[in-house]
Amino acid sequence: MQTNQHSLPIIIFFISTIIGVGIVTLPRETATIVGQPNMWISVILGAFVAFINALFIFMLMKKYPLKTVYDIAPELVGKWIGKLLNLIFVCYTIAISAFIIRTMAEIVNYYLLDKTPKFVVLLVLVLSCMYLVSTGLPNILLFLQLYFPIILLMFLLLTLLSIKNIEPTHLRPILYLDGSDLLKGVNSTFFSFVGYELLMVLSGEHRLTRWKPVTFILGISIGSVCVIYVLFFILNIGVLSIEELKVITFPTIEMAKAIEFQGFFFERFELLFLFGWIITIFTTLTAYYYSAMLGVCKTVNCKKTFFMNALIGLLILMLSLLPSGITELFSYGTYLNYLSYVALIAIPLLLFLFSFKKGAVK
Amino acid sequence: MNRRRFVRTSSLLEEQIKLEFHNSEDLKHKTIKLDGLTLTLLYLDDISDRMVIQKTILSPLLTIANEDTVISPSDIPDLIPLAAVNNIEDHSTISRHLMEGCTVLIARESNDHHVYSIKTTYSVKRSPDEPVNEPTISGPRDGFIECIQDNKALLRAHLKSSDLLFEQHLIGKDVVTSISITYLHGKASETLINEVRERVNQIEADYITDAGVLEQLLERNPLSVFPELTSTQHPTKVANALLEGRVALMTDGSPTVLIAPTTLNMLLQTPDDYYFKWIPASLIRLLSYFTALISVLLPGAYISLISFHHGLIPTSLAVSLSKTREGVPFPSVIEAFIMELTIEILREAGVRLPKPIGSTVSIVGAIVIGETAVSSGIVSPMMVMVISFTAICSFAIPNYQLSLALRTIRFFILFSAALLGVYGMLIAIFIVTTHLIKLRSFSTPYMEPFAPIHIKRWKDSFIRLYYRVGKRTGI
Repeated sequence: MQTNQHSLPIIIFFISTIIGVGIVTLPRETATIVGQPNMWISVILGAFVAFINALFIFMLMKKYPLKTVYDIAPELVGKWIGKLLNLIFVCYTIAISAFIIRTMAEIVNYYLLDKTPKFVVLLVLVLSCMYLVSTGLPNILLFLQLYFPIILLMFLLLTLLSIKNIEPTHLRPILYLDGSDLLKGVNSTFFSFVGYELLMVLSGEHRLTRWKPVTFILGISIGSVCVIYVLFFILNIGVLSIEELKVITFPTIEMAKAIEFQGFFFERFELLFLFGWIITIFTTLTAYYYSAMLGVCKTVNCKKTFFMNALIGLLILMLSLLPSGITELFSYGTYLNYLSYVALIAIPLLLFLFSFKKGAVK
Repeated sequence: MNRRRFVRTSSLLEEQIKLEFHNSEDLKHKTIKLDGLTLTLLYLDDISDRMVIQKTILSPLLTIANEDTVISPSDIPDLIPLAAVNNIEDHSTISRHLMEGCTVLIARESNDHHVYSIKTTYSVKRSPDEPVNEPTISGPRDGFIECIQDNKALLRAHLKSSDLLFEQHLIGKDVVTSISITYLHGKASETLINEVRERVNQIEADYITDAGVLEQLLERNPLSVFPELTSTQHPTKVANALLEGRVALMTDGSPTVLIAPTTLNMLLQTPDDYYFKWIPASLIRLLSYFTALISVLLPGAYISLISFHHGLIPTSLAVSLSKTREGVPFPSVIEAFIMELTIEILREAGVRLPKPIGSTVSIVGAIVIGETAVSSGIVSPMMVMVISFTAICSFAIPNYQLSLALRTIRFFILFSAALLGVYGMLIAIFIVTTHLIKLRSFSTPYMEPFAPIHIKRWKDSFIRLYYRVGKRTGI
């Protein structure tokens, strides 16, 4: 009971962080790589890889309880290299924030506000996020808890309404396994589970020190995100078919658009989906924004969080305005993936190896 | 606290009291000499009942004096059996006793003297009628009045428990107001009581006129529009809150009682919810959440659909909407703003005017302004409908303070919707919820039980499940 109460906010934190852009763009990306109706298996495999990676990150964090990655990096590899590693991690969080909000701005411009400049759309989002981040981690966790049921309800509603539109022929052949293609797909599905690495940042605040609760938290969060993704994959394939998925930019929104519910006053369900989805983007942005701010503050030992907050906001905003169009944005996405490899695997691995060395010296 | 020492001779004491009241005419002074004993009565004429003084003090004392028994000053409490007699040790409290309508009795022998205060209060009070701004359908119809003693009695009558405690605090530099911190021992947490006590003791005010003033002095977020304490005039509501482990603050001279801590969930509930069967009661709860949402979001949603997202309106509706909007000279934001302003002015006018004229305002407002504004083409009928529906929804919110707060938020949402459509609304909602999340009422999160999530407590939040009736769990 006690652990349950304690871990629920963190589970919600991870789920809200992980669900983000992936739910809208991932079906297309995977469809172009895998190109068969069983590509949701790639999602499960991706989740598995993410889970293993998360456990590996925890193996490192467990050695230094109640410390964040920003604290241990200077300790392990020396002050300046440690600070460099911190800055790389901060760059990664800023880049990922910029990427997701730029994707969101593209979608907002495409579906909601076609004439409003992207700068304004992004500015108000970053400003409101700045306000939320300035209230501190406990309040951020509360915020995520408030919106979590709304997000779940929205996904559930969308699923229920879309089931009617599924063409069973689109889903055939069922369970036809082409191993090599599915494994190639893992490369892209894996990145949609990005978000669990904030364990490295959260470990300072909460007593995430023992294997059992952390495995439980990670399992539940990655598992439930995996369930949601698989569900949306099946819905996407069932409603739109693989061929269509390959050419539609934002398939999940198109799927929501396909919902017809005659006789009901409200006909346009993509608005409902966009509402819920912008909330998830906001929560993801908040989590990364907070991590970036904490990282910068810890690296330069700055107590003036307001100044750092504004600086991070400005950086995210500037970076998000960098790509000129949606194709360029997606090409930046591949660079972002390399950066993710560095932040998710290289940095923890490096620190892990150094932790042995340091231990031996002692 | 300058507690002056009790003065030796009591004749000097009388002079001092008279001087403190600047020889006011309504301070009456009467000296009776019994053998060897001098009794001095001091009372304020208009707030003490002369008949009571005669009956309870003078007649027993004089009867005994006639029986030739020797009276010593320390026996006096036993000789006045009918009234509440207090022994006064501290000179500085005498004036307070006098102002409460007590009669001060100074009994002096050659070397011994005592000061007593006897309750002889005479006051004009109204009866505990049903509160005007919180009508109830089937619950108890009594309401708090301006006298703190009667309010305590009312609360005792509703909450017959030996755990009910009243803690008196005297606040105010120029005029002292008594404030009573009320809680159920064992239910309210010690940290909460301490926090309330601390905040009450920190108050530096010259004079507290009403509970509303006290509320603002106790608040820690003066920039927030949301109330940090609930105010109510219903004894049952206070009793419910106390049973949940909350603390109530009574102010002398105000019929309003403050309840701390307050959550948003609490502001959307009425005592009536517990008096009906759980299914209709739950539906009513859902309805009040729904109306709160509508009253904040509807004008903004309408504006953003009209001016940004025509495509999202169902086609048949869009056609009829565009017909009604024909010939309206203003952009829809200005139109909405004009209507909102009109409604707010009408509402304020309705509050200020005496009741018989108040109905005229509603007729003028509803029929004349509403009808003619539409027929002269200043606003579209749809806009009138949206704005008046919003107004009706905000009337359905159980708590007036909350409805005031939501009125303010509505304008914020309206303008963000006018700038950035549905997206702007969503961002505005993020900002408002961030504020609500940040808000604490006496260290309790304002959005509890939704953030932090307590799913077990949801059954008495936006719904009210069957087995919750007659049971109360702590906050």
